[in-house]
Amino acid sequence: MGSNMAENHPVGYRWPMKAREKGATIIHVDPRFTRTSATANLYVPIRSGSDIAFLGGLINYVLTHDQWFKEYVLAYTNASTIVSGDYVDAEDNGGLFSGYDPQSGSYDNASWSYAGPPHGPARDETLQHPRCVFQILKRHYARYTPEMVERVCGSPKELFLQVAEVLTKNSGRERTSAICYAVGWTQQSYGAQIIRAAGILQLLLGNIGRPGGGIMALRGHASIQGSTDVPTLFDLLPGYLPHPAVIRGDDTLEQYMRESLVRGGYWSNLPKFVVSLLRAWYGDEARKENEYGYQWIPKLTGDHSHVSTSAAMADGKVKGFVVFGQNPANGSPHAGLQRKALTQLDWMVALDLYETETAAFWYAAPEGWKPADIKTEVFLVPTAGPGEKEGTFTNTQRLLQYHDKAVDPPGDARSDLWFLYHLGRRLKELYLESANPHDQGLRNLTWDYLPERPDPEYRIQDEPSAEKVLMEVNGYTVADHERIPGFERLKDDGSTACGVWIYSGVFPAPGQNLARRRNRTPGNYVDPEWGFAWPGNRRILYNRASADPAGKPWSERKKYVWWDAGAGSWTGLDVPDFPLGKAPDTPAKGQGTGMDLHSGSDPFTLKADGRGWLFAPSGLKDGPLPTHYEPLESPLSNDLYPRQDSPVAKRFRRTDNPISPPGDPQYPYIVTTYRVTEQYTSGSMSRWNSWLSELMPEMFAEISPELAAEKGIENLDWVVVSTPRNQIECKALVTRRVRPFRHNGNLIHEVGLPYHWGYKGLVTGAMANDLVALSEEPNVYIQEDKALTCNLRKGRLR
Amino acid sequence: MTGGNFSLPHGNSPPPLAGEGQGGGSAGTAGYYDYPVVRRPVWTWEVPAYFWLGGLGAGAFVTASLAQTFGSADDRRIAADGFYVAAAALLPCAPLLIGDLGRPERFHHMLRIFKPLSPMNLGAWTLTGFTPLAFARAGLHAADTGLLRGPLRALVGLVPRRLTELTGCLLGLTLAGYSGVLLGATNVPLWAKSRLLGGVFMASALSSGSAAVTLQAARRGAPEATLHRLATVESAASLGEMAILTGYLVQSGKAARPLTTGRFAPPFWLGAVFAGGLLPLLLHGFARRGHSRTVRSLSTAAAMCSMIGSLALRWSIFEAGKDSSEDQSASFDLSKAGENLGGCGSSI
Amino acid sequence: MIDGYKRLMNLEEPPPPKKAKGFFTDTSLCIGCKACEVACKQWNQLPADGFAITGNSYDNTGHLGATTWRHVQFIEQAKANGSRQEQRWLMMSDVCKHCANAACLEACPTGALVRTEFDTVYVQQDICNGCGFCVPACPFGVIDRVPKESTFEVGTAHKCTLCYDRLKDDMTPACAKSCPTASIQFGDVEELQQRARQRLGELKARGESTARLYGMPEGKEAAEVGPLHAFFLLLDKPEAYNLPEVPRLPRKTMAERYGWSAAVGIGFAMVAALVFRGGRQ
Ligand SMILES: Nc1nc2c(c(=O)[nH]1)N[C@H]1C(S)=C(S)[C@@H](COP(=O)(O)OP(=O)(O)OC[C@H]3O[C@@H](n4cnc5c(=O)[nH]c(N)nc54)[C@H](O)[C@@H]3O)O[C@H]1N2
Ligand SMILES: Nc1nc2c(c(=O)[nH]1)N[C@H]1C(S)=C(S)[C@@H](COP(=O)(O)OP(=O)(O)OC[C@H]3O[C@@H](n4cnc5c(=O)[nH]c(N)nc54)[C@H](O)[C@@H]3O)O[C@H]1N2
Ligand code: SF4
Ligand code: SF4
Ligand code: SF4
Ligand code: SF4
Ligand code: SF4
Ligand SMILES: [Mo]
Repeated sequence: MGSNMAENHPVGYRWPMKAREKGATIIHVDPRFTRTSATANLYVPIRSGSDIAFLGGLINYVLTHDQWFKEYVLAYTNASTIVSGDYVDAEDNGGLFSGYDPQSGSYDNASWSYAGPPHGPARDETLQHPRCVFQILKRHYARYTPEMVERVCGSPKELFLQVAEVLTKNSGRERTSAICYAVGWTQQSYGAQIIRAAGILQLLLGNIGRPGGGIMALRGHASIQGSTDVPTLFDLLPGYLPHPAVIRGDDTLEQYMRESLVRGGYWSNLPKFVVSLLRAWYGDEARKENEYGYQWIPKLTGDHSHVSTSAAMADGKVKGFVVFGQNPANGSPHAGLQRKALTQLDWMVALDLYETETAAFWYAAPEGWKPADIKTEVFLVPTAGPGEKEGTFTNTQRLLQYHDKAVDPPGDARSDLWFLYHLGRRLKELYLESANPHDQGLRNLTWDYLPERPDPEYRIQDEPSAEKVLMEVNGYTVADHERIPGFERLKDDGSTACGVWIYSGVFPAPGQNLARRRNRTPGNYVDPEWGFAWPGNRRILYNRASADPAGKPWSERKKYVWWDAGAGSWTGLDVPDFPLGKAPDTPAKGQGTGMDLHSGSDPFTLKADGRGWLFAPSGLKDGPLPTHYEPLESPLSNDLYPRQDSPVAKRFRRTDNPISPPGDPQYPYIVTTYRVTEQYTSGSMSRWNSWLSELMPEMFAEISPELAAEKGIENLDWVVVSTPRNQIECKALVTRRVRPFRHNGNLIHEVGLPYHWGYKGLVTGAMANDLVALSEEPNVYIQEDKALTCNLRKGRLR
Repeated sequence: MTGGNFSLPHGNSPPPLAGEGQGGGSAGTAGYYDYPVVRRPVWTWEVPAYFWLGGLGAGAFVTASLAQTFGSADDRRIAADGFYVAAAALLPCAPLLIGDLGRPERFHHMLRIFKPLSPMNLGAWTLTGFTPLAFARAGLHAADTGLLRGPLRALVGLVPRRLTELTGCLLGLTLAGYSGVLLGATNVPLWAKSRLLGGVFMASALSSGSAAVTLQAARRGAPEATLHRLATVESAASLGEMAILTGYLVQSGKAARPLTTGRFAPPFWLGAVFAGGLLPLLLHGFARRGHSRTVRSLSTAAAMCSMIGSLALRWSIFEAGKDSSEDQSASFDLSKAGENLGGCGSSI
Repeated sequence: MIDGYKRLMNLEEPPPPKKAKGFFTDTSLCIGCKACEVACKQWNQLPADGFAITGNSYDNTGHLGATTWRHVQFIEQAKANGSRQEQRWLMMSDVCKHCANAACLEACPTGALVRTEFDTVYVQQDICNGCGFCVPACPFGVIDRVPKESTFEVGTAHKCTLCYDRLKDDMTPACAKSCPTASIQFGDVEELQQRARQRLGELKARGESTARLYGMPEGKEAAEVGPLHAFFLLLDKPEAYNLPEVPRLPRKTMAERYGWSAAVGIGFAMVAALVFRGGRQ
């Protein structure tokens, strides 16, 4: 659901296909009948933007049919926890939760917290208390009936019920079901909440922490997982440590480290991670007296996400732009605005394998700008491709896999690491003598990544060593530079250094790069010696939940990690994701910090209360329970609540970013954007390749025969698709794989647009992102490009 | 699509979206969109030109040879010019054949092996064998008429007359007939559906070949009786051609549509059937009742019609065959169970 | 002299035969990713055929040809009554069938088309003179000749080699290697046939009533061209995939064709003899 796995993860999809052959049931829920739908056992259509209604319907079904996994839910989730008396649910408040401030358009989530003392929330094990999570959940989803699902999602009721039956029958002690999603869920104005809804469902069915269960994010680019772990994200430091922010009051390291208390559970170790990180970055200059250099880290002053930065850039507030392996002039929302933003820069450096739309905007953009009128100075730096450099890829399973360099990159092309290293080196040289406090961070950065001996086999001799970087990532004791075996060893006294705590253990000793491992382990399908999974080589997170509260596997078939009373230790097929010696019957201590607060049967170690959160008392900006809203642009009004759309999603109300109102007759159709197997994202990697380009040579709009008939459009006719932002022309691909949805007797048409074409490459074509609005989901700042509205007519632009 | 124990919505095969316009597995037919089942032949104009000339030359040689053996003195004298015709017609054959190859410089690979199973290999060997025979026999004729003198004449004198004619006839007939078999030995519906195409091409070769002899005879001022006999021989070939062509069209059925109703219908009906078959028969019929002058011009006209018709026949069947290769439903018909077994079967 | 002739004609002794190799392409496992199509082009360095959308589902290459040796078909099927509950999207990776009795090979006048030691059908590029006869001879529309104006191996006939070069080095063909779902299975033909029979049984037992094998020794499609060494499990009748019901082997009717031709020739000769004879009296 929310992913077209067969088309976008074809190699990974071999496993579902294998499972299907062994009797598993594959269900695909998607607005379009795709290659995944075609190979699934059951395809269920869903109107774009209505996933929460669908999942809410499933949650309601599980609850009302009493199909939830009782022992699991009781012991491992916060079902019994009692929520504060101040809490008002969206059901009772027109779709808004308590704490909403219409002025700022944001929530104060104080009222969502647990009742009772923070360290020992009140619980009602009978689940009868009206304010216990279980009862709140029941009430919240009571109206998400199969009939409502059919109405909101356009999914036929029988099919919905079939899904519900398959899922409930296939969950429990003996069986598990997995949910896979990708950007069909995330690229919505409430994407995080959709995933939360799936989380609730999986917790209720006992599908988390167990083999064959889980919610799998099918990550996009090679190592996009890695770039979230060692983040390219503006609001995180490596290993999901929050980036210090002015608004949170992270003025001192001390204040920043309060976060560890807020987060609780294993996060109580945060000070160790952060101090070790600072030690890795600033070496001996990071001392207790100077807060280990904490002040050298710039503090966030607000939303500096990609979308927001683009908006600021368009307003001339950004001077320079280094773009590594990204193509915003085509791949990012409101591409026209992105291109305009590029014209406002003083300089731009594009590092890429190809000349992308971004790199070529100054002479090739459809706006027809004259190069002479562009003030931006553009540098296109050729980079090395994956085979031309060494390093790790972190895949969807959090598995780090090391790859070697096969050949030197051609000509002047250099690896990104080379570019960054030498840029840093030169900057450091430039600021060597500076006494300006601003420059001390740069001056004090450890920057020693050149190999002791360059590989004589290669022409490029000043290539930094990726293994040296990995060594720093792994961590070491400062005194003797001995590498540490894992993050358990990290200290908050400055005696250890570690670049990315969650990766610690990947390179525990010279010559032991565990990401290089490619060993099968006969008899253990987990294959723990293939690569290295973070954290600590655990393949399934929270795998303590694969055993019952007493530490015995829920079922022999599904045994994974269990308590070995004889040895007094957790053991199993995987590395137990739990304190090894903590017996199942260990009671929670009422006092203390972190893990002390968890009992031996609280598997969710990163959570403050050790439980899986059906109800999220904190951490989310848009509500503790997923609630159905319409997308920011929708032809329909919300069937469930007076509140139409997400109250906290960011809209970017600017004249150059108009958004059509609900039910706008000028833009009556839903439009969704996506990928096809044959092309890759903005196309800059695939549209230069003749073998791929011939397979999908031209931009097209997929429309149903019904819409085609209504508009007098024949297959392959030119059509113009428009939104209030822009309009594009492409060929119509009329197919029954696309269908209209019925809503209150009306047909709601959906138009499908791949987003792979642009103005550079062997094959070129219109950019779907010219149509998409700037918008942000409030938690992760992603644009909504999976559901918007458009109009469509036969013909061409000119 | 499969698997699991659940009764699921798409287990059974729905009918394809036949004739339902876009998005279906096919529009109107049972096949995969409107893509052809077989590949379109890559041959170009050189091939029908070669078939025509080769057939004509062979036909002329055979006619001339038969006249040598069975004819009167006049017939022999007059018809011997047929050997010139044969040699002249064969002259461009090899270049045409080679010119159509994707890699002409490798023409000799045709003779790399002897593989009569391949009509094309057989044809190459036949042409290779027949061409020198035709030239040798033409040389003899030249020697006979005093056109050739000196040592060349002596050399030509060594050629065994009868043996050359006999083997020449066998090779000539092979050359005249294999082309239709070659086209038939494909999966192009128009060429392959009926098994008579070899016969059609043979008849056409003989009618055009004998017509060429007639033409030359008329030009040389042959006696009326000889002209009449040649006309009879030619008409017999034409009649045979019309008969077997009718059989061919009937057997081909719908597969013949590209020829009978497609863009090649005009050259086929007007050129091949009318000008090449009916008109010569008519003209020869008139000639029979005319005076010697009209006989000569009528015969000339008839012979020219026949030769042009023969070219039209080769060309239109050849080109229409290319279109027919794209006729998906004809391809399916051709390969229907029970459709293509039987006949003389698998004796080769 | 003989050696010189052999050299001129590129005549070589064939290597000793080995076990027959081939493909079992199970379309019920195909996800239409076209990895096979691309892997084939990459391994064999084949050029693209052009860049135009066909409007025929996701198939923009259309058919096999001189520079497309694997080709993935996309067949959209839905109920005509507008209900989409029973729609299917069949995908099938097509390839040269490596027929046991190969029409192309029999047609080839130069011997460029040979049967290799792996019992596959292979075009020797240095022998082929581009006569083009194999092209219409193949009942499946597989082999084709590169146009005379082209940047790639001008004028010779091409089709799947069954990765002869890889097989010689004990490697799996590129297409099978890249197929993520084992829709393309490579191996010993006999073993694959066994596997296919078993697989069909499984699918039938699961209620996949329209599944069938195409190209097995026992199938009627083998009547003339013999078992296909690249054979298929299909989910609809062969025509839906543009496969002929009973692929024809031209050889089978050739005698009759020569017969008719000869009859006409002999008939003519007799008539002409009689006519000329008549003139002698
Ligand atoms: N071949 C290929 N593979 C790729 C990529 C590529 O470009 N080409 N890109 C890679 C990247 S970067 C990523 S992030 C992943 C993305 O992988 P996916 O998430 O699978 O990618 P999409 O095709 O964008 O979207 C998936 C599906 O969401 C459906 N959809 C649209 N709206 C909705 C909705 O409201 N609800 C639900 N449930 N579904 C909806 C679309 O119809 C589409 O089929 O793929 C990766 N893999
Ligand atoms: N409408 C719409 N828009 C979308 C999406 C959607 O579904 N719909 N999906 C979104 C998603 S999930 C994603 S991930 C983005 C992708 O959007 P972008 O990241 O902007 O697009 P890509 O084409 O993937 O750009 C990656 C670039 O990296 C270059 N590259 C590859 N390897 C290297 C390397 O080693 N070093 C360097 N320096 N460069 C390299 C490639 O040549 C390519 O130009 O698009 C997003 N935009
Ligand atoms: S492109 Fe790479 S990551 Fe994506 S499916 Fe293929 S092999 Fe996997
Ligand atoms: S499928 Fe066609 S090209 Fe392939 S071996 Fe058979 S006849 Fe030859
Ligand atoms: S084109 Fe080449 S391979 Fe085909 S029949 Fe002719 S010589 Fe043989
Ligand atoms: S076997 Fe080799 S040549 Fe044949 S289709 Fe596969 S990859 Fe291409
Ligand atoms: S690689 Fe396999 S799954 Fe992909 S299209 Fe080819 S046969 Fe189908
Ligand atoms: Mo992505």
